[in-house]
Amino acid sequence: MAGVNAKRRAVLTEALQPSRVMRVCDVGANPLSDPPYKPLLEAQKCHVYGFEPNPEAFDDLQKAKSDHETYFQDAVGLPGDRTLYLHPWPGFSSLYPMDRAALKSIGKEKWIRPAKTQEVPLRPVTLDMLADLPPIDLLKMDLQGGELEVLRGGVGKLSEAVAVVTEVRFHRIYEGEPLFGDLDQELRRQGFKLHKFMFTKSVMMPHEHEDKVLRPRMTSQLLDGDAVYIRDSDWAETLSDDQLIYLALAADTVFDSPDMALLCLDILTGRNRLSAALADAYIATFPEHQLRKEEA
Amino acid sequence: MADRLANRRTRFLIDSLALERPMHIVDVGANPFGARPDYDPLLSHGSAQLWGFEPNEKAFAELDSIKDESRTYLPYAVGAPGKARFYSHKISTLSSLYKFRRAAADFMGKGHWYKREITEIEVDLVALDDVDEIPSIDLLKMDVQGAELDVLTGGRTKLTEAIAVIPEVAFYQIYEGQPMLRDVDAELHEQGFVLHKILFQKPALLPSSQRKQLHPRLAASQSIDGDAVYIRNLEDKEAVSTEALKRLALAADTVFKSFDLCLMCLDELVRRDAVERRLPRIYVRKLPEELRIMEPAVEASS
Repeated sequence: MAGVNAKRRAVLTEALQPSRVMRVCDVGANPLSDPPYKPLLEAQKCHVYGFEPNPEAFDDLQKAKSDHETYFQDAVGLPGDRTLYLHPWPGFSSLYPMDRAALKSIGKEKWIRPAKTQEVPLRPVTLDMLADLPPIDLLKMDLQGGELEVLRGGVGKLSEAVAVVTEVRFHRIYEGEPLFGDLDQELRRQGFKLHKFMFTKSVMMPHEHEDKVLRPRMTSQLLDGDAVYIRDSDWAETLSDDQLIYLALAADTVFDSPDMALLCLDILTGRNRLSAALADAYIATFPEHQLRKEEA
Repeated sequence: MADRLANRRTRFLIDSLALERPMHIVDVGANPFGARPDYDPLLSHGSAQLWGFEPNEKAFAELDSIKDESRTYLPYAVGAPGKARFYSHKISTLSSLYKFRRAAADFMGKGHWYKREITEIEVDLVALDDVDEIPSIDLLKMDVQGAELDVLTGGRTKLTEAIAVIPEVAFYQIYEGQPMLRDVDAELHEQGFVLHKILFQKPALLPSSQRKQLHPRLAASQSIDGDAVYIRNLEDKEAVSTEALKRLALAADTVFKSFDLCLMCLDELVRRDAVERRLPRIYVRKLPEELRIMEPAVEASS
């Protein structure tokens, strides 16, 4: 599967030459797995702007980073004296404390670790406050409830962005955290529309017979997921050549919507920026099941 | 085979739960377009009463011909009460109280959506709360192309005790001013429901010069709409009556296949001494094999 995607991506990365490299901003420290834009970073087709408030982790990143990575030793959020609830498990730390009643109702009260959760005072910055951060083309976020604050404080830096990939919560787990509807509203205000949910995570409702059932097949309660938002405008009229290239690359590699990449290629071909043969070469890499069966 | 197992399980739950009265199911936009609705087994077993709304004359006549003691069909259009304009689309699944957005069809490569005739008709809308035929609602299902929000706001009283709502929700705006997932979500939270799951998402293949080469579904990426399941907020179980828990257990099993939720309700019913202690244990054994950790054969026969 990875091989198929790598071939598909290579058709685009070889042919698409923007006037400057795509800027990807990733907010949400400590990725638990490889970020979806990693292949673009390795192909030097994007520059990544990341954040790491922890001094030691920041130093490590500074030592290991490539020329295509920039890190800020900041936490992103709305400014003020705030508290970071530093959870012992990676990926659970948040600007919001955990919501006991909500967690209990989905059988996840055990996620609350009061003894091991540190409250760290914090003064976050907004994206728009950072003079060294240029306008961004693609925003990726996963910060356990803090996503809305990033958006509100990034209106300027996001004004030219073609896509936002954000974690959205469907069932509350932190007290007062914004939910899907809140994020959706802000993103629409900033001129984006929902494209799709990349994946969603569900949990099993608590009951006393868990030893008798296969948990992975018994998870009905939706918890969260990653949503993809795209620019809500007539792309042929409003997007620059570079923006269409960024959107094509992101659609291909970051959120796996090759039909959208083809749509971008069409517009670029119409502007005489690309050869029409590129779409054919691109489709030639698609797996069989995504192709329409030829009539016998 | 799977159907027969599901049927037997439904039957077993109905017998064990002994509801005080049949569950009240309301289906707005009842035209199933040939498919059997998910709540149908509950009607066949006499444990639910259906009120289906279908304003389309032809579809209503078809539905009315299958009515029986557990199925009532009403030819009303439900929404915010009063006169409204209805955009009747030649592709009847696209007919709506909201005006079709040509730009949406273009983006998703659905040009044929507006090449067909759209007739504007004046309709009288009724609020669910004003429909005297319906005493109260336990389960509400809606597929009304954007009118879901108005149905909900007009049914706040009759929905007070409801255990689940299954609305079609919009991910992409295909009508002008059409309420989206977030709007329906906000109203349902306001009424004390939480999002439980999304049953499916219908995707559209974005149009390009290459579209004829691509599989219309398996290469499609843009979400259009889907069915969501909302359930009564269970953070405070004490606030949910025993009868409501029984109805939720039944709906979770049969209508939207959330067996873990059903078990959770059964456990709570056991805690309240409202059902036999062994009910959840027997129920687990009636689940499809692929969901279970199989017991040794000796135990299974005991």
